Amino acid sequence: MDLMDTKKRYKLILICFLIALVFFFIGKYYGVYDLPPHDFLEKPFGMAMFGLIGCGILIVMAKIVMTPLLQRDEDYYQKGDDDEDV
Amino acid sequence: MFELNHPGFVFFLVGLFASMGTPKLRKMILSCGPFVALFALFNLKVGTVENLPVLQDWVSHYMCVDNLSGIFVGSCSTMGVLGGIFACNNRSPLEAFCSMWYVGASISVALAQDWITFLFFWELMAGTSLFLIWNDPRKESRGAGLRYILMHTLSGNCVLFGVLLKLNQGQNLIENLTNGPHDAAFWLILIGVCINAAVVPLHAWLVDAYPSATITGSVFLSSFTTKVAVYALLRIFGGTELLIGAGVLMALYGALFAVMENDMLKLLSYHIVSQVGYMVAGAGIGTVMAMNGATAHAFCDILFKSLLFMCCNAIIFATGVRKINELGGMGKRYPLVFTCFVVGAFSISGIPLFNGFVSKTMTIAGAGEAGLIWVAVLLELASIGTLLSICFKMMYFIFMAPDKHMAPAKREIPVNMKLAMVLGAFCCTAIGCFPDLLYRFLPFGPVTFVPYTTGHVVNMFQMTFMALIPFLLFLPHMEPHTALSLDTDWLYRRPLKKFFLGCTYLSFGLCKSLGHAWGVGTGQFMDVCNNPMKLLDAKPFRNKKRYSPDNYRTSIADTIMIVLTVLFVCIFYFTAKM
Amino acid sequence: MTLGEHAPVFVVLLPLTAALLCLLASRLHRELGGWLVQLSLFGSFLASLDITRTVLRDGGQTLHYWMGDWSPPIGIEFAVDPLNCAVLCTITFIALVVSFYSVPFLSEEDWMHYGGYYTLYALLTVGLCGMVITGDIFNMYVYLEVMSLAGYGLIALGGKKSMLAAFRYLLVGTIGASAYLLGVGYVYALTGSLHIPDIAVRIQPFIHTPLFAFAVACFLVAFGIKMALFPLHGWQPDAYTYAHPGAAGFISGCMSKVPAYAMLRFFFFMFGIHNTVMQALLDVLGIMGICGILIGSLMALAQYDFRRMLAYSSVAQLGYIAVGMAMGNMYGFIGAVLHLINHAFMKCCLFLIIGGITYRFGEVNLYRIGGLNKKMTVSTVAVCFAVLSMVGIPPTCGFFSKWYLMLGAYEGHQYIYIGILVISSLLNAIYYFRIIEQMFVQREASLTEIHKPDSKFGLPMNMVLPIGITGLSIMVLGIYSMDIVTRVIKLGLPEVFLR
Repeated sequence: MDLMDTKKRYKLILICFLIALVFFFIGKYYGVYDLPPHDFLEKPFGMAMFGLIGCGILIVMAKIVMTPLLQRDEDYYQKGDDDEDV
Repeated sequence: MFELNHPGFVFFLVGLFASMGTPKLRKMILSCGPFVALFALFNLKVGTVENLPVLQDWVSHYMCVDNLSGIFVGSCSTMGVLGGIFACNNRSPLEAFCSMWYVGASISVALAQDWITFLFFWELMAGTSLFLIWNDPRKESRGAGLRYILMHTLSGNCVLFGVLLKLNQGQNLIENLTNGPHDAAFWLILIGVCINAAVVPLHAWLVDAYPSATITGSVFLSSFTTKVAVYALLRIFGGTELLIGAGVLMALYGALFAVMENDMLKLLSYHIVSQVGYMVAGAGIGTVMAMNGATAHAFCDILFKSLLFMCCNAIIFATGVRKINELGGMGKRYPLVFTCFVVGAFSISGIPLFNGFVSKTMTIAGAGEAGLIWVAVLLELASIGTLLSICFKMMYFIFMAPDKHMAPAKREIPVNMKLAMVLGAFCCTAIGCFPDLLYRFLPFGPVTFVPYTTGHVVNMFQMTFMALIPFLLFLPHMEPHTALSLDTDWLYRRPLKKFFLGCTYLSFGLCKSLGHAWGVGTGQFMDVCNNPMKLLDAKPFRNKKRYSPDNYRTSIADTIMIVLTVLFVCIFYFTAKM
Repeated sequence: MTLGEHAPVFVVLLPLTAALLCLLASRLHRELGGWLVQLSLFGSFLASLDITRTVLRDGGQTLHYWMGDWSPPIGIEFAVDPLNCAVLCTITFIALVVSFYSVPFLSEEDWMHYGGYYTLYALLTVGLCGMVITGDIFNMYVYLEVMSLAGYGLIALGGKKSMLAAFRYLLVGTIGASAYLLGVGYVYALTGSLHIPDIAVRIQPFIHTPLFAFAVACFLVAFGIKMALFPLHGWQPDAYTYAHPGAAGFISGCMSKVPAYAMLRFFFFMFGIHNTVMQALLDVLGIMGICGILIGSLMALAQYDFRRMLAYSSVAQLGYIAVGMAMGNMYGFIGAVLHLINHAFMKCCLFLIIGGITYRFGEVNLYRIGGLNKKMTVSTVAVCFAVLSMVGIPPTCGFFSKWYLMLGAYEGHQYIYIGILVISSLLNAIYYFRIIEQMFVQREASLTEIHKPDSKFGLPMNMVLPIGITGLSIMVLGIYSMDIVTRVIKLGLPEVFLR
């Protein structure tokens, strides 16, 4: 399935959001959010927001911060090895 | 008389027999032999202790079964069965021998009760796994294997010196060192075990070596060294607080590097680092729930990690392609592999109904219960990273994206590989659906954690689906590129190598300059005296950079002068000391 | 007197007789000289076993044999105690094994070279054995010169570059022998005696004189040159590399060990180490040992000629022995002696193997011997044992000698030695595992066979048996290390450690 088409992707994004909302309401129905929350993860929709923002942070860290710093050519180590063998 | 209850020795025998004989016989032995080990495993009763007098006054406590070693022996034996089935088509007798002995050595480490037996089998593990890397015909496996054995020799030596110090203090049985004095022995053994557990920054060997192993070899490699190191951490260093920070760092580090990575096996290797981070953190926290969680996670990780390695190696076997950006559309071509990969991916991400959910959530809850909220949050963040790189990225770009036609099918995936994958998927699902199967055997106390509460399930699904949103949003950027990520092994691949070369040239220069100094001195003296005596032979270098003995030979006059210098220096020193 | 009572002198007499008769015998029939020498070495070995049995009875006693029934301190005596007999057995055993090994190398020589080689070989054995068991320091000089001259000859027989190597060795070695003679002269001037236990008593009033310091420095330099201790080792890499491949095992195994043993005997037994000059000497030895270990290992890393790498590795291993001596306590002493014996077998085994590779393929570059595990199986297994032993992995013998060295360093609170031992183990691992990688994992190199093997082991039986025996001895020595230490070496400790 080719997801490079933006329209398809936005449709999928909407579906995901709706499914998350469905699970939220299931949780509400079964009384998961009735007790006072220990930390922000137990707040209503807390894990969901954590998932959204956390994933975003990870993608930013990996692709934008670390990739330019740490990625090199594939034969980076082999290039300097030409005086190895006699 | 002789009860068959040490699974490790069964694996040694299987390996020995498998390496002799025809390929057909080897196939049968490798696939059926490990079942005998399972039989031995069931014969194992908690509380069995066996000793063997080896040297004059030294007894080897090679077998001591308690709950902790029991569960690790169980998981290693199961993995040995799966690996044996996966690898039974392999044509190399050396690999058959080494892989079975590797499994046997891991089990023996878990069962050993005294330091020297522990160390012996620890080193045996490193030695046998080395050949699983070196047997691969690619050029980079040479160097990767050499670096692997060097790091493991370092680890073995550290543990050796720690053990020697312990023996000198008179303690020869393994015990928990956390509450004892944090002396040299403690740190040496800790560093040695941490190298094997791939604690950041000592983890680079893992990411370097595991992708360079043979196709069937990497399945074995992925499961044992690090988990046995986790066993050692649980038994010897349970409750050491600095492991918590190390574990969290590992979990995040592995997840981040995996998002960048393109090579399939290297990505999974970074994930090994990440998952072991959970176990290390659990071992560090030290409460009953956290250590139970770490043990459960080790058990489940062996299963789903090897399942993922098996799926990827099956694809590599069939197409010869290792990079994600050259694959695509594998889901349609290999539906069975796709299904098993999905099971593995869901397991590692902690989706309910699969075994990762059962163990990961227990570890994170253990952190939360001990009051370490930030640890729990960061481990949860690493969990999202796992979702991102394996469940979303790998699953989409390898299996679901349109086929790029860069990976033609070279060979059929044989039946034994498929069987092994299905068995692995079955185990993952079984434990995921019936967590009590695993919880019954957890060693650190009664299990009070219940994974399948509405809250846990509902939150998990919310998190998963919301995390899918940024992935979909940035999908074109998520595709990996052909590149190499620098990791901590840069330190000893570039500067250290230059350092050694520099030291060698430095010592040449030292020897040469010692002789040259004499030549210069006498020459000037002779000039002053106007005496046409032949100078000492101070030959210049020939104009070549490369070392060859003929360019750098210390001339005989220099040698004699050095001798005389030493003689006179000694005379003056001794006389002065009187 | 029965024949058995003359065993100590037979150790030296049999090879000497064979050496003198060897050329004559070869003139009659080319190989007769070789057989004569090998037979005499076998007799020598049996005699040394007999001596060992006598010496180890009743908890260790010293066997005294007076030459011509003249009593010491005027007469010359051979004194064998438990320390001696271990080294003696090692030397005669290796001599026997390597003499058997060199036969194929000489198959194309004429009678004069055949006989000459074995003559020199037997004389080398005479010199080495004599140095080990004699109790008179001038007698030791005689044997030292016999050993050196025979050694120069055997090295020069090795081919094109060996003459220069032998000449360089001759120059430096003569300086060493002269230094030794100077030392002997000073000691004689001070004490009026040449007999080792006698000197030990008589030198005591003079240990604070400058002359004593001179003598000690001379002995240090002399033995240091002979055992190739850094920085007196300049002659050694060329000499070991270009020596005759048939004798290289014996030369590298034993010629550097006996001077090390002599150093032990002189400094621990004769002079005693509890005075200021000797403590200064131990410091210097320690520094030379450490530098030798590090520089030897570093230089070995850069080599691509197998034999040269082994030669530099010897410099490093002798550094271990020097460090063991420098620790000055019982464990260090035991470690040094154990390493002396173990290294003789390890180096001998490695040189025998490279000799075999040279014999069959003419190749010495260690990057071009790929995939040999299929063609030369026995050699490959022996190489594995030797490499594991060099790196120090149980149960091979190298591990146990390093263990004692570390115990000695720990007891003497000299932690720098522990650090050096760790670093050098790692360096050893690097340059020795290269060989294993080449032999097992690399593709088969395209090597031209010079001598086709006629047995199924890849080498003639004359070579396979010694390689196998030395390889096996490495394992056996390792397994019985405890026995060797408690039943042999501990009985021969100097008094200073027994108090």
